[in-house]
Amino acid sequence: MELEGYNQEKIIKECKRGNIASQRQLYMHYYSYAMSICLRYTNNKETSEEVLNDSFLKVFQNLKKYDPSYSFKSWLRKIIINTAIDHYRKNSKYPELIDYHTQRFHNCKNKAVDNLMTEDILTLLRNVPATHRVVFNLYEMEGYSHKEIAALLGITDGTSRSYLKRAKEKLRILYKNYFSDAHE
Amino acid sequence: MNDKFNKKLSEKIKKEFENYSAPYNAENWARLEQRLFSIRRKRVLRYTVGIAACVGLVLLLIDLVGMFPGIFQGKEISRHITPHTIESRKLTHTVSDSMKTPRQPEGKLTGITAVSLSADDSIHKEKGVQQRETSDNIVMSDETVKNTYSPIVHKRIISRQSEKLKTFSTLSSGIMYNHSVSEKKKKQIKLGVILSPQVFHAADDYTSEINFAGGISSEFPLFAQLALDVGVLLSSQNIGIDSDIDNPRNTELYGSEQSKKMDVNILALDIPVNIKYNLVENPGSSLFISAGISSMIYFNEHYKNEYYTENRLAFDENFQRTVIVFREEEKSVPAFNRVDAAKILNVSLGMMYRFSNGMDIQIEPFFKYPLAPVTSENIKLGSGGIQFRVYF
Repeated sequence: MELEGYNQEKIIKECKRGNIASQRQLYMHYYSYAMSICLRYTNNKETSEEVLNDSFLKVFQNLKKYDPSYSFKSWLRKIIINTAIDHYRKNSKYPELIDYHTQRFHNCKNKAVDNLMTEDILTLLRNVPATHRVVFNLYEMEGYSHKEIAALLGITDGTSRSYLKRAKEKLRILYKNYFSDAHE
Repeated sequence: MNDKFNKKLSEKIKKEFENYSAPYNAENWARLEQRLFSIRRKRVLRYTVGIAACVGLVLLLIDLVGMFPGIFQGKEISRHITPHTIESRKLTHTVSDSMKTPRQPEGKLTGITAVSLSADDSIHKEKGVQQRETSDNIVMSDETVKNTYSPIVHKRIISRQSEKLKTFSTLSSGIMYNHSVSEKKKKQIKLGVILSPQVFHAADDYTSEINFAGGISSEFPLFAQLALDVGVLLSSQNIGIDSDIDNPRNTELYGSEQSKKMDVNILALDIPVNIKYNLVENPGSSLFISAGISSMIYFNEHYKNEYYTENRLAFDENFQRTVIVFREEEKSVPAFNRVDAAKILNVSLGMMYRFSNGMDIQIEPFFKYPLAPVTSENIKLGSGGIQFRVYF
């Protein structure tokens, strides 16, 4: 998935100079990867695209700080996560609107966890409150510790643990309600 | 059981998104491209304005230095004493030669030359002329004293190094500006406005007014935490200074004491060049210190000096008399007559608050210490106040 060493170095060098064609090339190459992260942190596609573009804007403006001895993909991932958290902070004061009835579920009943599709998982995640979703993503997906999450979100370790527990409970209940009659 | 399910679901989510492939959306890129162009335009505009401001400033300084080559050296300035300056002639006939003329402020003016005498009675004012009897033997009426004084216009050559003022102060005010939220903006040249209320101060007793300074400022990033801060502020300065003038010729029986009150009104261009260092950096704010020098270009200098001279005349131990003479001088110095280059030290400590819309607000208490006498009257004029800056 990562661009080949020489190509990436060349493209990043051009991006630093403000070459719009190279910036587009980099954007296109990492679009899918970046979107897969953004989708997990937001509750709709439009917001995901907004976070994605904000992240790439930061990338282009801070490319001079990027250390080529590290993986560009990891650097990009970190920027996307931070942007998603910024976005969450900015919007956390407004209540999140979740319309359960318009969420689409594929082959709703009797679906094993292994058979869940990406859309199904996204639907589950989007029905989890934003704070719980962010903590779940940071802990389960990114491998952050509760201490790190607490520092990032400005909460205590205990609160982080509590949010994670609630997120998992919520996911389990949602799964039970929409995909299975009983727990697996 | 729940834990097992949770673990399984988490693993599924992780696995699903590792292999997730979102279709590329060209519209998203078009939106981002527009934002990139917009930022580029703003950056070019900022650089252009910053460079133009610097070039303009340099040209102005070069022009001023060229127009007024004597500015950085001592210079003679004509001065007019107001017509109601009073001189006692009668006393000169009755007292020794050393008391013929009221003594001039010590060290203030190096020379006085009478240029003309005016017979205009309208300028004979009782103001400032008082007579006191200290003996029953001699009485000098107010009328007598009045008629013995005549107005004189003097031209004085003033030496810039001749004067020492003890106290002085002023207040002033103005607008300003900032830093940005994101890292990128930190590296950009920032342009903003300054508003600054100031209090001026001098060596000794002074009465100050609140004055205001306002102007523009540019910040040029240098290294990690350092930035060069250049500004141009129009500053008004109004100060009143009271000082006593020692007279070495005073004796037990005769002599004079002088005090001086000076009202200063100045309109000047303050050009500060400071180095700014960020002590603490937070996402939404920062704490910084700043130090540098200021140069002053004067548009208008107006000085009003009031001298109170108390002459003690004693013929013997039982026969004394005191005459208090009030004298007023006004002096106006034309614009661009003097430039005080790098004579004021600037020190400040401030907080900067960044807003999400890209605007920064800076609150900066400051102190300006005079490294050398400034203004045409060679006053050691310092100031203190708060600068409010808004960076766009």
